[in-house]
Amino acid sequence: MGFGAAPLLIALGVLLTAGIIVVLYWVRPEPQPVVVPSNLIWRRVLDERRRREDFWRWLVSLVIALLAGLAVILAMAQPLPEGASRGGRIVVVMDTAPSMAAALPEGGTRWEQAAEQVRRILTGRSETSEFLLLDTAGDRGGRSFIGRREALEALDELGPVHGREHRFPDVADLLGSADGAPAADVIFVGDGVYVPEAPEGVERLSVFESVPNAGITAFDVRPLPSDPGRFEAFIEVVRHPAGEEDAGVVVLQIDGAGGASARRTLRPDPGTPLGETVPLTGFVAGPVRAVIAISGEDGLPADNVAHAYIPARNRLRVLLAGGPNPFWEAALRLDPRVSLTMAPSGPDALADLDTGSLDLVVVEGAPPEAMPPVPVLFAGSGSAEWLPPRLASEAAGAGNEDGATVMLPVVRGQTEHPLLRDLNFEDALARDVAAFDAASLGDRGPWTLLLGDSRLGLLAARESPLRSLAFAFPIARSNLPLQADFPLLLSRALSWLTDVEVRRVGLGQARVAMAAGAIFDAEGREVPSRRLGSEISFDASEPSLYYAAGGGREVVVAASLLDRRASNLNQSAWAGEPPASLAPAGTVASALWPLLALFALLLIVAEWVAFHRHATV
Amino acid sequence: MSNSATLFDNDFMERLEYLKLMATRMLPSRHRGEHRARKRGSGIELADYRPYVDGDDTRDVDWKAFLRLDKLVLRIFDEEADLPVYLFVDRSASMAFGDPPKFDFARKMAGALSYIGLMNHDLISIVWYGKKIDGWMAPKRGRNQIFRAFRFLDAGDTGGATSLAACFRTFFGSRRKRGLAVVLSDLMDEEDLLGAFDACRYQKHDMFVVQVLTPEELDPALPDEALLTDSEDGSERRVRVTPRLLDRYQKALAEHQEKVEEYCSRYGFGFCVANSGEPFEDAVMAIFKTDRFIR
Repeated sequence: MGFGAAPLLIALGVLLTAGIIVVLYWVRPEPQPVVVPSNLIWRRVLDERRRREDFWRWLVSLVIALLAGLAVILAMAQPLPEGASRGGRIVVVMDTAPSMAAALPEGGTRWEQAAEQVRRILTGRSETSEFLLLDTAGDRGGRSFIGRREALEALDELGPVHGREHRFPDVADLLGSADGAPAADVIFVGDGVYVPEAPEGVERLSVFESVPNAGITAFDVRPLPSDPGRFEAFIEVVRHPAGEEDAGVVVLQIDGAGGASARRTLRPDPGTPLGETVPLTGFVAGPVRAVIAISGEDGLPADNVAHAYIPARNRLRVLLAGGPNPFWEAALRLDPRVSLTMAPSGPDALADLDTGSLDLVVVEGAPPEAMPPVPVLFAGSGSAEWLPPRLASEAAGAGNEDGATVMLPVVRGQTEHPLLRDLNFEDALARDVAAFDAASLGDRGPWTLLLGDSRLGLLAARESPLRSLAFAFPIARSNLPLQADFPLLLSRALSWLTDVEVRRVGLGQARVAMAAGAIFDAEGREVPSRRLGSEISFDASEPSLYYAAGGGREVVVAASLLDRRASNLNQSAWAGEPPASLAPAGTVASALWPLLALFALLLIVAEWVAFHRHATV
Repeated sequence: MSNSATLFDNDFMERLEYLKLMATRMLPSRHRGEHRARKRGSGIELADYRPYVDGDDTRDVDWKAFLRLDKLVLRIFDEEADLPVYLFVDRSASMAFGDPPKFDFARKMAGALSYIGLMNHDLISIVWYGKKIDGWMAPKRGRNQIFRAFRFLDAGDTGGATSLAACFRTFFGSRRKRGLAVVLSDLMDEEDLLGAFDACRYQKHDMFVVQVLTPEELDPALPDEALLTDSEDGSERRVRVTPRLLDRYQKALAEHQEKVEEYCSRYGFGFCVANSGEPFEDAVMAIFKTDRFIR
């Protein structure tokens, strides 16, 4: 047996306790002198009593005092059982997977139970022990062993981490040493859901306990293909009962802006995801929240809520500038959302735009000198400072001048762009092209090339400060409006230019492509964030809507768990193992010293009562 | 007689009259010495009859019985004698304790017994004893000796240790007329108490032992931690007073008394315990009630 307290403290405790015992034996109450007629009877009584009982009473009193003293000393010394008393190094690997946030039926979470187990391990070990606290998310790495207090502080900073890959850290160097004995005791505390295996030689401490759970594993809001002004939600729900019982009923509630709501009762098979499409009739642009509820316990509240955002406006106020243009007029009027207005002719047509009454400006022909304060769809060969630089006419090719046609190939790598995904413009031709300088676009400027080749830029898009699209040729001088996919391209372009930018992220660290800005939560409070290059990173640990604002842009970030694996809390490789309800060897000591102190106190009280109440004499 | 006003005052005398009256009722009336002798002989009270044998005094022949029975029958009388009463009063330091002090209680008892004895024509002697005989009032008879006895008792004082054995050896070492020895003491005697009684018994004396104890001795009330100092020899004993210890004290005291009582019972002596906290006449009546005081 060893001791958890420092040797100096133990020695001090021994001296102090011994001193107290000696003093207590010295300090006896002074007897009150009483003169009696004769001591004859008293002498007989006392002689007999001393012979029979005084020795035993003295012996019992001494034993009690020694026991009490020993208990006090042991309590101060914090004895450690065999195995825990040895010093050495202890490596604790914490499972920080999302499933560790599962709520247990008896209260608390798997993580809280694991943390409590680890605290017992840390406090139950010798004072001279060194600890290394690692986690499966890799937040704590390195090989620096620390003291108990630092380890406890580090433990308090850990917790279940979403959106990361979880794996058992490499501890091979700690499991073996030159003489064959492990360099450290390695203990893995987890639930076996995300990290089912641990290397041989690692002591596994399971906090897994089967819990029922229902969760949303997918949630998306999209416009109806037939009517871009109406939307539907796709949601996937899964329910994992704790045992063999039926999965039961899941009540789905979808709420939108303006009090719109939809409600469904779902009956998913146990463990099988159930997809459901819900028409969002009456829903308008704005936040959409899906909530599921089940009867009984639910293991993970984080997957009961999912957020989305309806980005599109139901009505687009579009100003067509550059004079009458039947191509544009016909194409824009095909979109039912568009409310088209014709701008008067002249160079000052866009001078005094009322941005409050406009959503988009479509310009064909000569570009305005300054960039309009609303998103712009431009098509033409003119130059302006806010447009991408164009190639010189020699470089662009003489064919442009004599009416030669130019193909419109999609730039490699942009086939998955939201504007161009699954569209085909192989037969598109254009005349009077004043091509953009493709070499000056891309990463070196705000414009991104969408159509063209490595030299000729034909369609470019920019994100900030306002979204804009620029064709390098007049639409009227091409056969683009005749292409089958042109209406779709135009519809997408209108949405891309005018929709609120929405980004869906999982829980955990989220990133938004924004050079500068701040993150706000749904209540408008700023969320701590940091810049990572051209991105802003922040902790989206709770399912909610966040707003990133900066540089004239606003991005809505819908953070939801939406993770089938995380929702399946019972998919543990350790399911057959009993949970770690008992503390491992060594952790008993943390609770031993109060018991010893209590034992000492009881002995002292018993001795005091027995002495003063004459119970033993 | 300065103390006589307090110890043997009028109230005491009235109590003595009461005791005398009670004693008259309880004891048979006699004109001469009140104590019946053990041997039969000359006297006036018929004890028995027996056949006449040669050598008998013809004056004791019952001639009326001879006329009726035609046999010589001899009348036997109890020999009456004025047996002396020796009152041994312990005056050791331990007798000074109590409220009233045991010594006063013993003196009052001795005074009462003397009064009753003298009123009944008994021969009364009073002996102070401690470590030795400290004073002696020679045997007196007659009612006119009562105040002499009171003065003697009033002049007594306490002090020193106790040795009844030494006292009896000294007192009964000289030839004393056989009588009744009354011991008034707390019997807290370190020396051989029963050996002392033997010295009395060997001289064919009758004996009555009265142990006078205070209520505090019968039921001590002491602090938890006490240093007990013996009033006679100054010895000290430190005790932690507990109910169990007090119980042991009671048992030890009872054993001490039982030893004396057993001795007295074995040899036909009288023994009683008097509580000095109670009226002395109650103790005197208790003595009279025992059939061992007067035979």
